[in-house]
Amino acid sequence: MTVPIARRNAFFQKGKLVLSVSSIGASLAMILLLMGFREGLYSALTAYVDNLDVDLVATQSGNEGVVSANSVLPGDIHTELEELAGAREAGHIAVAGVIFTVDEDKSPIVLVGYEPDSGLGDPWNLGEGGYLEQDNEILLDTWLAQRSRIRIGDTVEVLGREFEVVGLTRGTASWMAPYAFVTLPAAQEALGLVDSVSYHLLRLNDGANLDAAKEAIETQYPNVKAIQPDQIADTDRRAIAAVMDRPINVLLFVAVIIGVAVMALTSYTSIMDRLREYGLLKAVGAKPLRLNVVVLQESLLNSFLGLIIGVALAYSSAALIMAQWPQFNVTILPDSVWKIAVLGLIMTLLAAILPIRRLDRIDVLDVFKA
Amino acid sequence: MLKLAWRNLTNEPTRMAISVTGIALALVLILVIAGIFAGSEEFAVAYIKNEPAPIWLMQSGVSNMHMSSSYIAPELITEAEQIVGVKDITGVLYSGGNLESGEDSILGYIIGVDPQAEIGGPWKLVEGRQNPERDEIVIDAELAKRLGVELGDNLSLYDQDHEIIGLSRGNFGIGSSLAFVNKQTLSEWMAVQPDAASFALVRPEVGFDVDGLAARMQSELPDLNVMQQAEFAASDKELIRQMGVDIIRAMNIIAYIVGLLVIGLTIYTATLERAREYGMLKALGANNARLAIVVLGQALISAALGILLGVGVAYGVATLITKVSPDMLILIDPAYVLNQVPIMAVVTGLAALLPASRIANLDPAIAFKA
Repeated sequence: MTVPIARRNAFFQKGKLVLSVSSIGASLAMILLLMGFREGLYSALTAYVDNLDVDLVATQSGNEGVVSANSVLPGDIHTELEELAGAREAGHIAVAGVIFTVDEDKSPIVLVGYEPDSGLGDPWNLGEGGYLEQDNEILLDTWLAQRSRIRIGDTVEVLGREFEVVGLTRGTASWMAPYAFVTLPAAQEALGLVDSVSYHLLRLNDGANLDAAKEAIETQYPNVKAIQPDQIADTDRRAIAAVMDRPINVLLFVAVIIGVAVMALTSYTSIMDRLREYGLLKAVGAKPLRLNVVVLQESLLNSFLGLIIGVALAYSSAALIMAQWPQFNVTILPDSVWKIAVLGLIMTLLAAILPIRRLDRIDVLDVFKA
Repeated sequence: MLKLAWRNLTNEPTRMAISVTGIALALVLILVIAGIFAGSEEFAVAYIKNEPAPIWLMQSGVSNMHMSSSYIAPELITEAEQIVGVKDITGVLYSGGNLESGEDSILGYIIGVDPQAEIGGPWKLVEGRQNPERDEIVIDAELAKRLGVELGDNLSLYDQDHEIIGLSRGNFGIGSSLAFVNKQTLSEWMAVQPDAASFALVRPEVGFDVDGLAARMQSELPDLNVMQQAEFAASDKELIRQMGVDIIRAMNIIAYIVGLLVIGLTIYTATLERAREYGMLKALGANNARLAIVVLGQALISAALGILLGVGVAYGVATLITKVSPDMLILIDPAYVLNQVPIMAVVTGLAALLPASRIANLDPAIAFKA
């Protein structure tokens, strides 16, 4: 009958176990939260495009993002684009990054000017109030309004023009730039877009040939690209990733090293606590490999428990962070959890090196010392 | 008592080293994330600070350049030029765009400058020339390295090839990369008049009071916002600072929790190891308060060493990263470092609570057990 030494070692001192497993869990949670922050950032940024509900977007060639580009197209090609694409519905929008300032608070926002009558390009989730009817009205993101202490009925200033807040939207918050909506003429006037728009939106008939519609548009207008909304989202994600991935990766790297250090501390501490016992096992004939396996088993057990706590901590922390700071969208994907599990395994193995080396140096004579 | 604390800690130098490393890395995380934002602030205002223009004009309601949109009609610039005290005004256009070379792409700000203008272009040229004509571009030398291009190569911007005619320095930062193109070309792309501008740089006549001129310009140009250089730069810095404050706070909380757990685990384990000795001290008359000081002493020593190591590693990491990746400037503010000390002291105190309570409940009779 074998003795489950690793399990007994782990559970012998409950207080120490709780601290060890909590430390590992906190380190893994930190990594998961960083990954979740990155994922959430990209999904929040592309929320507008993801909810556009159109088949094609005509954009200026070379400016195929919404957040990451400044497309400008003539407004008067609208009808012809509709005919070329065989669209059943068409609309156009103006989009630009601006700074929303209230007292001393500044927030970058993405200002979207759309045509309320077209049913295209409008906010997909109105939480409070009504939709736009006049050119002097604006819809703000709920978080942005709360942060700036603005309510429905208040007047705000954007690009030197006053707008009355008539509605608050949901799903439009983002740490980098939440969305705000005005009418297209209001946006054109504020942005100096004379007879120009940023994008033309097209809804095709059911069963229409998308590729044929694209080709028709791009042949007629070589400086126009007709693309699907998910391609725009992809362009934006890649553009922002090129900026944000490296600093986030630096933080992830540091977080992983912290995790390894915490695991090493846990394993090493456990060895030192039980030095005499391991010496005794050696004295009665346990092979070094057998002892190493015990160390690994205990480390893996601690890491496994830490992983469970870490995942739970990450999800609950993400919920807390989003409740406290709604501009942060922390999206922890199941895929990330698997990655953390594998990473945790590698970290555990790395962290076990030091304790194993210490174990190999145990002098069996230590057992017999007073 | 502090001597006892020191001995307890150094009794296991490896464990102490791992623990101090864990604390140090938690501090590194805190300092690096703050440093990334501080570095971003510097890059964001590099253009404003380095152009020799004491006064800047922009659209009314605009007070930032970074992540912003602004439009100044040509007639307003003409009007501004007539104001007594103005030597000259240089209008530049400002837009976002993806600089592409093969599969590589970097999101940047594109500045349209008049080739004849004396200011408004790159302020530090290392190679080539700085007056881009049609289909020409000036980019940062580090950006060129990142994209794998050289002087004379082509970069794609807005689906058009632009020949690199100049390499500059100081224009490549995270989210703040600048490229300079011909203003006429950019105006066509942005569908604005060539004499329009996004921002206008004002140079006063020699000997004219800048404050007075700025005030007069503001009163005579109510459709514009007139800002002095320092004020404009401060406004953009404040924007970046406000964007970073919540994320820094969230990451700091997580890092402090990790630090707390690491210190707690170390001290708790050290306390358990020395249970008999603490029991002996109690049996000899040491009260709980004195023993708690020993525990607290251990925690503070660990934290202090962790802080020293963490600050050193953070500066080292910042220097290394900035050397390897110059667009990621990490600036660590000594004042910010000092601000972390009292917080770490509180965290340390909290971490010492569990071990201290363990000692308080210790039975002195443990000293006499076999």
